[in-house]
Amino acid sequence: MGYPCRQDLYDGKSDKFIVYTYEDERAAYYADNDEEEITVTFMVQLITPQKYDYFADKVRLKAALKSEGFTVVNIQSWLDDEAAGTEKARRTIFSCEYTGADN
Amino acid sequence: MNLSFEFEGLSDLLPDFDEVGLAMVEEAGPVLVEQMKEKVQRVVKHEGDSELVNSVTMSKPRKGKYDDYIVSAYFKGESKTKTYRHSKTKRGHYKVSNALKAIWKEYGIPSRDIPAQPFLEQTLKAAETEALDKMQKVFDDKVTT
Repeated sequence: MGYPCRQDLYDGKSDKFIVYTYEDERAAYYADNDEEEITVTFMVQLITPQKYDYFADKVRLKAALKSEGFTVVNIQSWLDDEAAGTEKARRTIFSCEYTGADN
Repeated sequence: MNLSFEFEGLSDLLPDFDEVGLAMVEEAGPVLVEQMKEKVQRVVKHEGDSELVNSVTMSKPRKGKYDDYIVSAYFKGESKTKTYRHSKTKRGHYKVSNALKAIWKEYGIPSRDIPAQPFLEQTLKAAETEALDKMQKVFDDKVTT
């Protein structure tokens, strides 16, 4: 997509960017008293200008996440709020899970 | 074509399921509130009492339109310490709801140096087992005896 992608915070100039947060990690499968696989929950946020037609980006980002093995559990989108001073932005949030080997 | 079965007299043997359902979620609600308070406390930066934590409240149990039974934990009221000015006029001191403060915690404001500190998922995962156990106990007490 060509947008900057950072973990947790973005301090750049672009008005379109992606931040992700490593939200939760827990064991998914056990064997021999050890975790064989873990499930990780990620929050991925696509930030775009309020008046930007974000829908094509939403579709592309969802497809990209799925192609990398993520399960997109939920997508929400809203205009940001006046109280935070970010009312010119739209947030589209992908709640994702990934299950794989613990390494 | 319409096929149907009709039973009579069965209702005399069964308890009132609205009463059972509402009692089940009422029993589970405090578990959700307790876990929500604990998880929100972890993401509060300052020391001492937190009005955000203290604002976590259990809703009144209710029956949904799909015959489901619902109780929720929510952030009640407005902040007594946080206000904001209108971004264009720079005027006024508008109140901020505790729910909005909770949204800022959950999702952060990535462009303003405030990272997301998600607590909702952790709350649900932490509360799930105990809440289900409590609901099962109410069901067993009211239905199987």
